[in-house]
This record gives sequence, C-alpha cells and structure tokens, in this order.
Amino acid sequence: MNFSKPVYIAAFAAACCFLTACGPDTGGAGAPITGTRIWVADQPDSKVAIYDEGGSLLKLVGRFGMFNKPNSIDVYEYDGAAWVCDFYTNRIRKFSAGGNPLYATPGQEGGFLVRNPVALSVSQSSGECWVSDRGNHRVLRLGAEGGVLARVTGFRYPRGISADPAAGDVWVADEGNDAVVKIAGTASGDVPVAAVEVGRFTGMENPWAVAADADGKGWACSREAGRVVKLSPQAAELASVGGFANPVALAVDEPAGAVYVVDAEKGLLAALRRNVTGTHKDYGAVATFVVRNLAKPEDVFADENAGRIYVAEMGAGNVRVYDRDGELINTLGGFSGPGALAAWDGD
Amino acid sequence: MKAKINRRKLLRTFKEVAAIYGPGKRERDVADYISSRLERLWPVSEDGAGDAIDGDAGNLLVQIEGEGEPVLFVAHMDTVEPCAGVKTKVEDGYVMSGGDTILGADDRAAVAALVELAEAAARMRARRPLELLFTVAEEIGLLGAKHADYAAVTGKMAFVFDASEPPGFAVVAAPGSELVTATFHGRAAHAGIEPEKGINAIKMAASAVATMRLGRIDHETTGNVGLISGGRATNIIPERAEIKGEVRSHDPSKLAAHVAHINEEIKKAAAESGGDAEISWTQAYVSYRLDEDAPPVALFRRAARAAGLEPKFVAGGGGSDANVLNARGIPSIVIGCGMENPHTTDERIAAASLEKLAELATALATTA
Repeated sequence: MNFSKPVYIAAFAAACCFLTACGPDTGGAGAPITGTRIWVADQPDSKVAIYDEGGSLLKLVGRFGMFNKPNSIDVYEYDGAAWVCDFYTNRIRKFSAGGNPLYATPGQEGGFLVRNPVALSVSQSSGECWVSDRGNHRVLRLGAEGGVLARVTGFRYPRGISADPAAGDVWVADEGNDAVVKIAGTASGDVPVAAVEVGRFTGMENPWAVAADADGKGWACSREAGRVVKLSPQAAELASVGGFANPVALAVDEPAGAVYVVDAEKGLLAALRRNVTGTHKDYGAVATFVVRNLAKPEDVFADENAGRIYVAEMGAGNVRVYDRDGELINTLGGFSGPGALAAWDGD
Repeated sequence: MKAKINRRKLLRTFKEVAAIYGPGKRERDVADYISSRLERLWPVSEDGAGDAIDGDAGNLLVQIEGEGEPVLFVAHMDTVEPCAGVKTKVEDGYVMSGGDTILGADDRAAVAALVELAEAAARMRARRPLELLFTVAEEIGLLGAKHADYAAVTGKMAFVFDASEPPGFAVVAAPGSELVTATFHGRAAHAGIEPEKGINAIKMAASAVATMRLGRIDHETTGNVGLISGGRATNIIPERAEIKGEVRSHDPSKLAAHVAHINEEIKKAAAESGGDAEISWTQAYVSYRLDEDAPPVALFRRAARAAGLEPKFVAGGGGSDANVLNARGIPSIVIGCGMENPHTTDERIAAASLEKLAELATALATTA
C-alpha cells in the first residue's frame, strides 16, 4: 500500500463546503488513501468497506449500524466520491473517496426522503446522483452537494437506474409497469414522468437492471425473460440477446466496446459486443468472452480507466477482478455476501 | 396488466427450497434463502421466536405494500424428518423425493409459491397489501405461530397455505386439542420374592387406558393414547409409568367433557390399585370454525373462481398455524396445496398443483 500521495483535489475541497464534519480524507490508519479503491457492500453483514487492489482493507465506512442491507454503490470518477444506497435504513449517503461521510438524506427525524431505495447512479457529467426510490414509486435527482433537484413521479416500483455519462439523461427500469423509461437529465422540481420522458420501451417483462451508453443508447435486462436488450436513444429496440436465466446487473465499458452482464442463476459473466444488432437467442454468439462457474454473481462494475471488471460473487463471498479479455486478475475473498460494488482508480 | 407466475422459475424455486435441511427449530438456512430472495424487494424482518423456543431462526415477515385491506399469507419453513439431503426428481408430472427422505412439499411448496408471488408482486395491478409470514417449528407444536410478534402484523385476515387437499379446497374448521401426560406412581418390590409388597404402575396405566373411550368418539371428537413407558427390569414391580395422549374436538364443550372423562379413568385406575397419578394437560391449540360469509371464506371463494377453481370447503382434523391465528382474532382458513402422502418418504406433489397454488395465491392477492 502506498500512503504517500495526497488525494485532495479541487472538487473534493469544494464539496467540503457543505459538510458538518470533514477532516482529511484518510483511511482507518489516518493516512491519506491513494490508488485504486474498491467499494464493496457486504450485505449479510450490512457493512460497506473500501479495499485496495490486493484486497487489503483500507477503511470500514461509517459507524456500526449505519447500514442495513446496502444494495447499490456508484462513484463519481472526477473525485472518487461514492454514493451508497441503503434499503432498510431508508437513506442515501455520500462519502469522500477516502470514505468520510459527506452527506446523507434525512433519517427518521427528518421524515425520510426515500423509502426502500434499491439503486442509484452518479451522473458522470455533473456529479449528481439519481436514485430509484422504489417505496415512493419515484426517481430522485440529488445534487452533488445533497439537495433534492427533482422528484420524478409516476413510476411503479422502479428498479435499476443509470445516468448517461455524456448527456446526463437517465434510464430507469420501471418494474411495476414492465417498462424501460428514459428521462431527461434536466428534470427539475416535482414532475411527472410523462413530462420529462425521452423514450419508453415496453417490449420486455420485468425489467431489472439498466445501463446507459455514452452515445445515448441504453441497455436493460429482464429476469423474467432472461434476455438483454439494447435500446436506441429514443428507447426503440436495436438488439435482443437471450439465453440468460437470471441476468441481474449490467455495466457498459466504452473503451472495450463491451457491455458486461452477470447472470445470478447461470453463474456467469458475459461480455457482449456493444455494436450488436438484431435478435440472438444465445449470448454466446455475440460475446467476446464468457466467464462461468461463478457463485451467484449479483453485481458488475467496469472501471473504464483501469480496464478492470469487478464482479460481486455473492454466493462465494468473493470479489473477482478481470481484465478485458476475461482473464482473472485477482480474487478478493472473505466477504459474507458482496452484493454491490464500485471502483475508482484514484489517479 | 396481470403479472403471471413463471412456471419454470416456480419449479426451480421449489426444488431449491425443498433441498434445504430444516426440521423444527433448525430453519436458519430456509430463512436465509427466503431473505436472500426477497430482502431487496420488500422489507423483510425476523422476530424473536427463535430465541423464545431455542431455535436457530425466528419467523420471517415480508411486508408488501398495496391498496386496500392487508391480508396475511402464512407458510411454515420447517419440515418433518427425514429431511436431510432431499433430492427431488420429476416423473409423470409429479415432483418427488429420491425415496429415502420426505419431499417436504409440506410446506415448502407453499414457501416456493409465496416467494414467487413476492417476486412478481410489483407487477400486479390492484393488489392488496400482503404480509407473508414464514413460521418456524409448526410441525412440532405450532411454536413459531405461538411466539410470533403480532405487533408487526397488520393483516385483517389470513390464509395459511398448509392443507394437503388439492388447490381449490379450504379448511374452514379445525378441532382444538389438549395433550395429556399422566404419571402413575405405584410401589417397587422384587417381582419374584415379595410381589405382594408392590403396586404395579404399568398395570395401573393399562387399566386406565383400557377403560378410556379412545379413537373416534363422535363425528367431531377423537381421543388417543400414543405413548406409554415405565418400569426398570423384568424382576422389579414397576413403581412408575407414564402415558401420553390427546383429545381433539371441533366442539369446545365436547373437548372439555372428554378431558374430564380421561381424568376420571386415570384417577379411578390409580385409586383401585392403591397408587396415585399426576395428570398434566397442555392446550395444543384452540378449535375454530368460520362462517361461509367470514371475510377469508368470501375472498377465497371469489379468488378460487378467478383462478379457474371450484371452491370447496371442508373441516380439518388437525391443527395448523390457523388455529393460533384464529385464537388471536385474525380470521384464518387453511388453503389446500395438493401435497400427497405428506410426512412420508412417498410424499409428492403434482407440478400442476404447484402451479395452481401459485395462481391461487396471485388471485387472493388481486381479486376484489
């Protein structure tokens, strides 16, 4: 581990302006954290921690009892700040790259802004965070510094959410309506989804996870249908890839020209070609690689800068790290059940 | 739009949950399985029943919001033995075990149906609020239901998915049950040298059992002595013997009358032999009988028809979690799940019954 490099950057310093308590961005030992940070939500233990590439614990994030089944993490590439979604405490929390708390949505005393949130996505163009506020049947746009910028209503049990890294528009899996909806990233105030809708795809039952392309396209998977669809910027179907049993998470890797899919039931990681078109009954025909024999993989994250793919292998208590050829680089073990993760290469 | 249960997934879920070892008080892995499937969809909580009964898991409560009056769906997580290493197979449309274990369709078929219901619930229109209560230790005395945290339950009526009748049947009445343990005390003596000094406790117990009215007493009352033990050696006149039995009746007054009868026969046998007897009664569960216009009966009738089933109502002969719920003021009926030969290694369930059960659960959740 290298603790020599300071990590303060302008954006982080600016973020401190609204903090009630913001000390140096350090790990547990008090020294600044540098290098790759892998954020892992260990669900059975209800804890969030940061690890280095070698699997060493850098910091246990938050105090005891802060989390109860954290289920989604995303990082802002610009400064490494991480947002964590927690289902049972009904909170969204933002942390610095070093794991220090920056912001949290109101808790019980404040009337809970969110209820049973299930997913979040950080807009890489703005640092804002979009939240799938499932229990309230809405999607929230949270400012980088924590205010509520928009409440988009009219969803029914929204599930996956992904912010377009370029334009800032947002894809939402509207599970209860069997729809994948694209909304404008400029949505503000209290607004019904119809007022900010860019496109809507209704050709797939039980949409679950979504991922946004940098060119405005979207990807969505269905646990019910066992397939992944690629959607145009207006949400028309461009491609359909089947053969999955329970695809639960997606991640776009622009430089690699790939979209990664993990299937919890088949226990696989598949790298689909981003330029795929048409209908394919089996993912094997359009995958650059497939990794098999994973134990209940639940999440996948692509670190586009470092060229690393991280898989939360919940059933085995591992985080697997792959390169873009699907070669296993490292296995971080000892987790109870990693269910969500994100990574930031730090440099 | 009406979400449908995915048949392939339902069967897979049943096979997965049937394979989990979980007799009474050892349901931890079953509870973890259910939690892992549902806890990211709906709030799942576990009560303290595990601690109260010295088990390794409590009851699980899954709360699914909706519109209207909440209803409670109940299935128990435990199975009877032998349930280690259950391997399922499908033959001629039936799911069965390998023959050396039970299948565990009682009550894992219901567990599977409710897990699938919960996973599809977000996509069901006009669905009422649902509470899924997965209980522990049902098979060993309804212990989970008896120790459940009812402060967290808001359901105004309950459907207990636990009857062996086919889907479409509902048990709307069940007997109450009292369990008896009688310990006869005689006097020990050498059986060959001075038998005159002894008072034989086994003979006392036998006399009592011989004069008791047992078996079917009338159309709604039964009595049984199922266990007897005592004595130490063939050459010792036994000073102690114990019998265990039960009385069941749909009619509380008949239940009380037959309890009194058994008490009387025990005391009489002891007195006639010059010994004495201690008698201990424990209430296993309280009887119930719901009218045809009771809310769960009326909803079941509508839902069964919506699911393409002709509703049929019967009186049951055994206890279930519904006895406990009815006693707590939550009107409850027991839903037929279609398991055949439960509690035996010949247990099986038709795949079609499993599917129909899930459809019925969906209909109960969505039928106005």
